[in-house]
This record gives sequence, structure tokens and C-alpha cells, in this order.
Amino acid sequence: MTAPHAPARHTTTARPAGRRPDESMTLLREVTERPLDPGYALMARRRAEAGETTSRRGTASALGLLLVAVLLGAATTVAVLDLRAPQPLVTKGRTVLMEQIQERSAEVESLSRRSAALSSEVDGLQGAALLPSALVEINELDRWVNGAMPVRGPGMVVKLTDGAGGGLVDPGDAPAESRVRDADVQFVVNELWAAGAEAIAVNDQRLTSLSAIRNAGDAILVDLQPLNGPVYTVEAVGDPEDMQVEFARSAGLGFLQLLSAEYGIEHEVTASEGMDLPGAGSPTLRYAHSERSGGAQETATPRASARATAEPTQSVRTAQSMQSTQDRSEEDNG
Amino acid sequence: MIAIVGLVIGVVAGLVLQPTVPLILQPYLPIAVVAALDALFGGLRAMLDGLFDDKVFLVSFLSNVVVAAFIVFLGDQLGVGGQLSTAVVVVLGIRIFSNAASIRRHIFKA
Repeated sequence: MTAPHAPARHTTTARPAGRRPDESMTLLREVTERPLDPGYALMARRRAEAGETTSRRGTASALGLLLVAVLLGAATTVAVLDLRAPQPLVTKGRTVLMEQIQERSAEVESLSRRSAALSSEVDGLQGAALLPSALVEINELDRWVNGAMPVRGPGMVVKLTDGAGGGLVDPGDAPAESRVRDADVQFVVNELWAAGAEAIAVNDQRLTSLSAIRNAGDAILVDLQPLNGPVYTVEAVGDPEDMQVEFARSAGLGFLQLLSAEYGIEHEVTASEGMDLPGAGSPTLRYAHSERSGGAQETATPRASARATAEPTQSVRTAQSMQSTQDRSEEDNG
Repeated sequence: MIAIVGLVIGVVAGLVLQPTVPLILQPYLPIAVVAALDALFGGLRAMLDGLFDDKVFLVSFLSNVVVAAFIVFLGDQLGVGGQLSTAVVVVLGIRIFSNAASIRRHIFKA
């Protein structure tokens, strides 16, 4: 009496023939179990039926296949090469920016050359036509003191280098305090003036009595011209021995040591035998008045009327000028 | 044999000539390359199975690339380009994997 139940129980638990537990997932099964293109198997079966081991085809068909294969190979290679190339838009943008920078820099350079040429022309005209002979000499001396003319002579050089990788690391990584700031350069310049410097240039940018050294963002500007870091070179023309003694006696060295100890800003103080400092060009004529005495001639004397951060504090005298070897060091000391 | 020789010639030509790809085709390049990889693995497996056939290989190669690019194009037009690209990559990726497994069984017998 138990026998009829057994087959019945069996049929309820048994699966219908040909069904699988994952039947509802035929798509996935198809993908995972039969990845080989069924075309290969079909072709093989056909060949077997025809009794061939390798397929034979005509020249035209072979040529067509070859052509398709060449095209596909080339297309894939080109696609891979193209994908591996850097993003074209980014590159294009960078190229455009680089071109613009170079273009503008060249423009600035040619304009500054023109400015220098024009100001020397102005100087010549002023010296020749406007000034009475008594004032020519004073004007000349003024222009040395003002930094308008290039000078050459011995002196000392102070170099400040940005800390932490020298500014060559990613700006985001370098701590902002480790960079040289305007106040550092100002301090060094002022100490050099105090030590008896006669002419000073920062990164070949001559300081005049109107020069300002200040920060704009991360850059240090001297007379609105940005300086290129990470090394800032302050060149001072003067008596090297006196200047070094005075500089060592001043707060300058202590300040430099503090900078290197606190912020890793490196410094280097050296004496130099012969330095060429460029001229800054004539200052703009801001004020002129007529002199009635003597020949009642119109005179115009460029005068520096403002005080700047790099103002000489003690004495200013020019070293041997390129044009003249006149020395007036005695008259304005003290 | 013809197919392999042709592909090699094509690869060399592509490397030497280095033509620029038109901007319109740029979005389809990644998916086309994946499709080409799938066809290559399929062909390699067929070769090891002893079933390789030039014509089947080239037709599957061509149709893979074209269909994959077309699906992406269609997706772009319908605004689901990213999702369809993912779908194509998943399907082709699975195929490449199992073909690679089959090739490995042929070579290492394991």
C-alpha cells in the first residue's frame, strides 16, 4: 500500500527532463558557457561534410579577406594609439597658453628695449639742450645716484633661495612660509644700503630711489616687474671690505640665519670683484620750474620726490660709472 | 593565415602612418578596441580548438567592432551612452575572460 505513494512523491520532487535550475538565466549562461563564436563550429562542420581539412577559396575571396584584415588591423592600431595619446584638448590648450606667454614675453622684451632706447634719447636731448652747463654735472651725478645709469664695480652678493625644494615643487605642496617674501628682500636691501652700498640690483633689476619691493600674490615685484625665483640675487656695488664688515655687524646676518633656521630659506653671502649693474632708465620728469638767475634759461631737473622702501639710508655714491670715472664719494658721506 | 598576415600588415601600417582619427569617431574608440580584443581572443581559442577559419574570424571581428560602436552611438542618441557602454564592456569582458580561460586550459592543460 505504500508503493503507489512512492512514485507520486518521486514525480513531484523530480525535475521535468531537460530543465535546469538556472533556466531563467539563459542569457548569462549563453554568455559564460558558449563564448566561442558558433560560426567557427558551423564552418568546421561544413568542412567536415565536404571532406576537406582546410578551406579552399578563390583568389578574389582571399584578396578580399586580406584587405579586410589589413583595414581592421590598421583601424585597431590607430584606435589604440589615439587612446594612448594625451588628451588632445588639454594639449591644445597648453600649447595655446605657451604660445601666448612666449608671444607676450617677446613683446615685453621688445618694448623694454624700445623704452631703454627712448629714455637714453631723452637723456641725450635733456643733457644737450635743456640744461645750463652748471647743472649738467649735477644732473649727471643725480642720475648715478638715482640708478638711472649702469654702473660697474666690486661689491658683495647676497643670494636667498626658497626653502623646501627651492620653489620647484608643486606650489600646493610647498609650505608658503618657506618662500622668500618681499620683506626678506627689503630687509637685506636696507641692510646693504646701511652697510654702504652705492648701487643695488635685485635679480638684475636696478633699484632706484623710487623703487618698491613688494609681494603680489606669490611673486615678488621690484618696480612692478616680477622676479623669477627660486633664487633671489641681491647685488650691491660698494667697497667690498667695508660693506662685509658693516653687514656682518648689522642685524642682516642674524636675520638671514633666522630665515634659514625657521623656514629653510638658504642664503649665500659672497664678495665679488666686478659686477655690472644695469641702469633703470631715467625717472619720469614730474616737476620742473624755470630758473630766472643767470641766463634766464628754462631748466628742468629730474628729481626724485618720493621715498621708497629701498631708499638708501646712509650714503649713496656711485662706483665707477661706465661712462665716467668721476668719484664723489666724499661729498655725500654722512 | 591570410587574416593573420593581413592584421600584421595593418598593425604595421597603422604604426607607421599614424593617421589622425576624426573627432566624430573618438567616443567609439574604447569600445571598438574592446570588441577587437574579444574577436582576437575568440580567434585564438578557435585556433587552439582546431576550428579556426579566416572568414569567420574576420567577419566576427568586423561585426563586433561595428556593432559595439553602433550600440554606443545608439546609446548616445538616447542619452544612455554611458550605461550602454558599460553593458557592452561587461558582456565582452565576460567573453574575453572565458575565452582566456579556455586558452589557458589548452596551453597549461589545467
